[in-house]
Amino acid sequence: MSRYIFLFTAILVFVPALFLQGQGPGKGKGKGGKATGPPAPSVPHDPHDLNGIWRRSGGVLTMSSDTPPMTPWGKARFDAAKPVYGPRAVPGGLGNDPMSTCDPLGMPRNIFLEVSIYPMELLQTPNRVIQFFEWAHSYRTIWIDGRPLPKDPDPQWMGYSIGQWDGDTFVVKSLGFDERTWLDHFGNPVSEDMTLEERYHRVDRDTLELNMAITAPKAYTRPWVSEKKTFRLAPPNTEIQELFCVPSEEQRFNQLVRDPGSGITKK
Amino acid sequence: MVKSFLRLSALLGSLSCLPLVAHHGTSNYSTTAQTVTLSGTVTEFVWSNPHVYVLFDVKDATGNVVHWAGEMNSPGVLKNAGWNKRTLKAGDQITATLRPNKFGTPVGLLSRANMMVNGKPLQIGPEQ
Repeated sequence: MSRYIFLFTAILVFVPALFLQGQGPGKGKGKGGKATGPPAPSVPHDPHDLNGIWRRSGGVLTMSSDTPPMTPWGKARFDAAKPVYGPRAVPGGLGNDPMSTCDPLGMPRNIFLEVSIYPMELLQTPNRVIQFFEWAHSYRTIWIDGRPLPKDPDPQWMGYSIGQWDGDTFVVKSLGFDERTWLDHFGNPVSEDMTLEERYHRVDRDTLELNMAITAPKAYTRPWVSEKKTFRLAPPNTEIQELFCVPSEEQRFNQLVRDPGSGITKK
Repeated sequence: MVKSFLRLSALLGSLSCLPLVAHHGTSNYSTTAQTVTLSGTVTEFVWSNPHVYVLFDVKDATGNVVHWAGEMNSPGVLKNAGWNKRTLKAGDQITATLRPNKFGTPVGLLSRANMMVNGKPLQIGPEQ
């Protein structure tokens, strides 16, 4: 009997994994979908070299499952959000997710996009690191030239970021966020006083680990420390796709698909 | 009419279980265990960002034409799977499996698996 339970469990685990592997890590696909096989076994690497295209390989789509208590302001923002994901999900056409109108996702939400579908690329130059996100074809700059964080920055979708090495860990500190963004797909709030710390560690050639923490006293009553996020290096022939979110095309999609699919016949 | 058609089709399609991935919420669609398999004629294959979708006409049990929309993922995800904007075209006869929405309108989340195009299994490869 236990053998059958094991078999059934294995099917439950591996069938979705097989479906996902065409879009996920470890199974390279070049132009025309030609499979190129999994990456080679890990080899010695420079832990200070973060260059490459990385795909997140699991975990929740937010900081962690342990959401901190919210302030009244934070709770009001949370209640006003109508996400199309998660336990509070409403049909797509009835939600107010900024993503549905192609508004910038900002940080840290860009990190939380669906597991393994949309990669990010890190490009290092002498004075900055560019983090390029496939979703919406957007990027952020992480300054590594020794400049301090600005004292009173104007809000930006991606915030303002500086980075420095702490041993083999690349530490990124950011502030100056635009609170029109959502923290994640579930409508958790962002406040303008939010600071974000990211700690990237390339533990082997193919694995990049990220631990994050936010402090946003306007929205949350205590800091929110993330679970460990793990990224896998994509095969060398991987290309970031031109995945813009095009408002005019999204508008037609909403009219022809999202709204009628949500029971909305007229708006 | 659409609802009765959906119920009939759901009976036919309920044995299949096709996981689907989309980059936005899909709570308006049925579960992966409740799919329908539809055959119809493509009227437009819309290769747009960030969503690709297929518009196709399906005759229901009484011969009426129902305009269906099948939602897919982004062009980038489809490109990585070997698709391009010419993979489907107006006039193609397709058979595809969808997760219908919960409101009874002819819109569903379309699966790339086991699609038939003009009577043949859809072959994705460099030749396209």
